[in-house]
Amino acid sequence: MSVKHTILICAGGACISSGEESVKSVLEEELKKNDLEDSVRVVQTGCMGSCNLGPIMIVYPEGVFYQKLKPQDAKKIVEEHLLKGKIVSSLLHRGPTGKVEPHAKEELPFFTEQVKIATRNLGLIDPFNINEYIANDGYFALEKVLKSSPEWVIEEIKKSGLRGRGGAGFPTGLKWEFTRKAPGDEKYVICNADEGDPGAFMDRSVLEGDPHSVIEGMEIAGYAIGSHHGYIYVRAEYPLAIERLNNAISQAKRYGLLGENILNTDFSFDIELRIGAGAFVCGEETALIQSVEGLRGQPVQKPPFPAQKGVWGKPTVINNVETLANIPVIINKGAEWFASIGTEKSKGTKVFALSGKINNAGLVEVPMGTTLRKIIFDIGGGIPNGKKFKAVQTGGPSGGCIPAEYLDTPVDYESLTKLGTIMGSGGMVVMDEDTCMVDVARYFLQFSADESCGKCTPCREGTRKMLEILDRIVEGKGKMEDLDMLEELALTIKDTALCGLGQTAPNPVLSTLKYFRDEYEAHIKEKRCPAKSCKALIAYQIDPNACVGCTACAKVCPVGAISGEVRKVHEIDQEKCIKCGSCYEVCKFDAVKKVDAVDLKLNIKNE
Amino acid sequence: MKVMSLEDLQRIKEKFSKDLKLRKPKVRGKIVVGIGRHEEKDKVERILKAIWDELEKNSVNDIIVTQSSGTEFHEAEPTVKVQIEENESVVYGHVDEEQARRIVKEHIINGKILSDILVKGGKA
Repeated sequence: MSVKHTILICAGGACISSGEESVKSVLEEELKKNDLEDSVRVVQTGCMGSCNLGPIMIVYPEGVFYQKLKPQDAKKIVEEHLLKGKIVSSLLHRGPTGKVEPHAKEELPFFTEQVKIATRNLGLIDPFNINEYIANDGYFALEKVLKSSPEWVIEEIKKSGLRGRGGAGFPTGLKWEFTRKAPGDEKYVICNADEGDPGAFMDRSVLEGDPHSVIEGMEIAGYAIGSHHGYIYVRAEYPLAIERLNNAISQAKRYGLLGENILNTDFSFDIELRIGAGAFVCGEETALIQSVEGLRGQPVQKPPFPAQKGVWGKPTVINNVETLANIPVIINKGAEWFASIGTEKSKGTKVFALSGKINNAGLVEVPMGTTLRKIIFDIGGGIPNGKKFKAVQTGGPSGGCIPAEYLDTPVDYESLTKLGTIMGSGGMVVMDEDTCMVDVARYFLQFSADESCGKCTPCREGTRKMLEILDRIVEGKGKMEDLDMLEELALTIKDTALCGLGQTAPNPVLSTLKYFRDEYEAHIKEKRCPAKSCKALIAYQIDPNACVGCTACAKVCPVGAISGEVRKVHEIDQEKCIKCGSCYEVCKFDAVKKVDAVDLKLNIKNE
Repeated sequence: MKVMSLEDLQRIKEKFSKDLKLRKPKVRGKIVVGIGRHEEKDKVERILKAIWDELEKNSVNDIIVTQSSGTEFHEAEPTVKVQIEENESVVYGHVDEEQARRIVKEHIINGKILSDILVKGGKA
């Protein structure tokens, strides 16, 4: 019996967390019950990208995109769609307005506006099946490379204009050339898969969804620089990525596409996984090398650069996951093709992980030079609940925020640097009008201070001092001199810290000071948090004109701070209130208001 | 099984790319609604809705409908681009819901190009 339907189920991290496995098991049960096992093929793929719609299933040949599935929905799909040929319209995506009802993935703007190179196989192939990787041109680039000279490979990558996707944007071809030219007969390739920014999951998704593309990219790098050993440095927090990588490595070895005499040539290359404990600083290349060697992950002085003296003191190329995933496509389609995508100085595409206050949170890949507006509003679907866009943080804790007036900035390495932030590895955290920018800066700085390895004083002590100041400001205890002190500390740390972590840690503070200084001043001078988010500066109050006395707030209050009889106006005891916000969330009549605590105190005094 | 050569890779590719081909929807053509200005999102949605509605009414299910921000015909937006199989694409301009329904009825179903709202392509 021939296959009539192919069903793709997204088995990316987010979909698994939202219950993909139980949906799949019901689906398989139902297929069995209805004797459809032979005519319907079920394939688990890597991340499809639209993470907030998970679990996701696409049914072909019709290409119907079913989303937010519960286990019982699988039964409905089998009975209605597979058996009767009827689309189950209640499971289709409706868009943020609830009006539009596209059937196919190809109809959703989230997908149509993307250009997928590094994530070409995500959501298409089964990451456990090397044959499907080969079917989509996998390992053809390796074959082509092994027939050419290493110099040609390096030249091709240089011509393509590919730059490191891990954050700094160093030209990949140049890095390879330096390492090839460095003296020494033993050289190494390291894949940096130590992705640690809050809100970033690009590399994890590529490793989980298309592990072979990273392996092939590493082999090509190895051939180009003259290396026979590779390490993938991946954190223990990514168990699924590790499982799929291990599987892919053993498959590739079985096929003779990795290991000794690859593709029946003289070239041999082996890959070993190194599991990190998840310290942010280990994404910094010199700290990563230490950790690969089994030492404590602390950065060391550069130069010498890893290209001269890397792991085990040997010349080493360190490339990020996404960079490596681009390599096979560049070799297959040519440097000119790749260089025709993107902007003058930033070629190709970039994968972003959209998160925060955004309708379509997930993984997107767009050409370099795409505007923030397009990424956030057209692909990302804009801000939920009709709220206003306030800023977007790029580059995670090492980057900065970009306010609304720069939404039309084309996203590439240079323009982001000009705005005081960085491309980083591709995290994009979107913030709406309810976000306090001082608190955002504090959050990211807290992260960097916690992750500081403690080796150099500017980072260890400096970030702590900055954090203390920010803590004071959000508690309404700041002074205007604090802002100057913050700036001075920030610039000093930038200039004097040993590694990238410290040098970039002040960026969130500097950029919020640049674009949202008024918010800092409001916290200090007026003791007000303009976004009404800083706990110490707000209070909850019940509007007597709106309260109907439903008692919902009194019931939910964990400290018994709300009093009032049924159908009578309720009141919050400010002394008892711990500002947890439960009453605010539960009130259906919009009667609980967030107010500035200073106003409340004034009112009490006046009375 | 060892892969020893380009031929081996090609053999595997040939065998399994059939599976991958099944992972694309079978379609006859594509309708792209294009608009560049964000404040008119509602308008796009009304046009999309009209197209979907008309397609469904006529049981057409081999046409993909998408939207695109920014087209090359700014002054004619909202535009509707129709691409049927390998034919040259046709762009209609200043499309409203009524025109959108006409495009489906005339162009998609009867293969007739609407010369009165044509912006690009088609031998009007």
